[in-house]
Amino acid sequence: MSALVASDVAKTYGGTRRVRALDGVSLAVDDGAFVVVVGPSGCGKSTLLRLFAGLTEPTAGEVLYDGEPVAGPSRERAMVFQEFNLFPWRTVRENVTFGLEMAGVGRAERRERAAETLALVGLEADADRYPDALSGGMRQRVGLARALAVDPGVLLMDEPFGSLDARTRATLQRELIAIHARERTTVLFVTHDIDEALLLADRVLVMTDDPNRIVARVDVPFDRPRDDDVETTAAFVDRKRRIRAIFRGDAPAVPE
Amino acid sequence: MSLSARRRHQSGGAILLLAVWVAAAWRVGPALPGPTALARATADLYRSGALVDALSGTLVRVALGYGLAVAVSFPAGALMGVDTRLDAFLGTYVTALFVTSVASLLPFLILVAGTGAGFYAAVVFLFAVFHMVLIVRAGLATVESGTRDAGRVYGARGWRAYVYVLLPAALPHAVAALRVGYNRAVKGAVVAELWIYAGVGELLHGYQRFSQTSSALAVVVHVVLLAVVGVRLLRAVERRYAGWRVVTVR
Repeated sequence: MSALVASDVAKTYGGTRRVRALDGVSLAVDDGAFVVVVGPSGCGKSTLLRLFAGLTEPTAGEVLYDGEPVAGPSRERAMVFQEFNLFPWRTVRENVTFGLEMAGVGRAERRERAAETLALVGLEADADRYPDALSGGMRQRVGLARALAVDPGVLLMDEPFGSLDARTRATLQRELIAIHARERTTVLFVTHDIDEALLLADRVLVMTDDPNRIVARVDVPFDRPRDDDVETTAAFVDRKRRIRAIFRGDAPAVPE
Repeated sequence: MSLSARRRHQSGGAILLLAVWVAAAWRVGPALPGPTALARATADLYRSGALVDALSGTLVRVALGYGLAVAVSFPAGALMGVDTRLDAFLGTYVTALFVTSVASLLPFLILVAGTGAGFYAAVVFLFAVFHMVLIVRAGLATVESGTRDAGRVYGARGWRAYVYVLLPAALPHAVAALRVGYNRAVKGAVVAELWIYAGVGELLHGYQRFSQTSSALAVVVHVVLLAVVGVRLLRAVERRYAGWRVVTVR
């Protein structure tokens, strides 16, 4: 069954100077799948994620989670943000358990869950530190732990590694692959980085701007667990070339 | 600038100021007391008890008006920062009074409130409250959209968003408001006392009348200390509880 579905979704911003952020987007993300939307800046991929998160509403079309229309945010659809968006006044543990606290989960259970998720992202020793004292990579681990702590139905990841240096990004990509293999959480991930998309995804959806819509679907058949070596295979390079050609407008778009 | 470099520059500034002061006092003569005359006058003021009496009176007046300003500005600023209707309703008046010279209202306030405790409380309150409202409002209004989004996604909606996300996020501004408000409150108390010839104001007028410049300067130094010590204490609170964001208010 599809965890996330968008049917012919459009989103327009602004008053007199209207901007079409999404222009007839349809997609489905199956339970347990790792789907990556790749596209250039301004193609509307973050808007698409915000629609699934319930942080904004579509102007036209329908956005569903588990067969029901999305009406506002929910812990079932946890989000990891590019700018981390941690709460600087709360410790790492308090950040991680924020969603549980809002759900009325007791302190003892929150601590237990924080210990589990912090172990998952390798930050057990940093539970009592504040976000200010952490590196960018560590902060995003906290962001990921905060999302996993609420045991969500889907993880929505908005260019989560976009503001990290290349080495940290590669480390976190590997960790995310391992976590997904263990937890089997459904993931919808957006990025502008083709390599990242192909490394992480079961399926890549290619978005273009003007019009802002999904123009192609690329299945990624590489075995899991994956490592960096997959990037040197002919199949990887071939898919990368195809997506680049679509971005340049040199290749025919293959609608989903 | 590194901390040690900053300290070096501060010490350099103090030495330069002291040198200019000594040279000016020597050149001007008795009208401008030097450091030793100031020290003697300070010792005399402490012996007579006049300074302690005046300053304790000033502190009580500051506490009264400042307490009132905190009690009004925090809820008002916090609501204006999130409620656009209330902000539109009150914003213009708060901003107009913020840019108005409160000192120009003093004759009017004397007519309305007399010259008792109510007058001092009103002046100190008016000196502090508008700055504090605007800083607290800015704290709430400038909470980053990403922080709000994270709160919403993880279940903080309605009053929970306010209590668990917006108010804590505005804490650095709240402490900055306390700091700026205290500074303004001390100024307000001194201005009020100068008008009514009470407390520190009475001392300053008296010393001026009899050309006791060293005693007048000693009083001024203590007023400055009263403000600086309070602001320093609030800065320490700021670093301890809201160190993640430095709010600069001039």
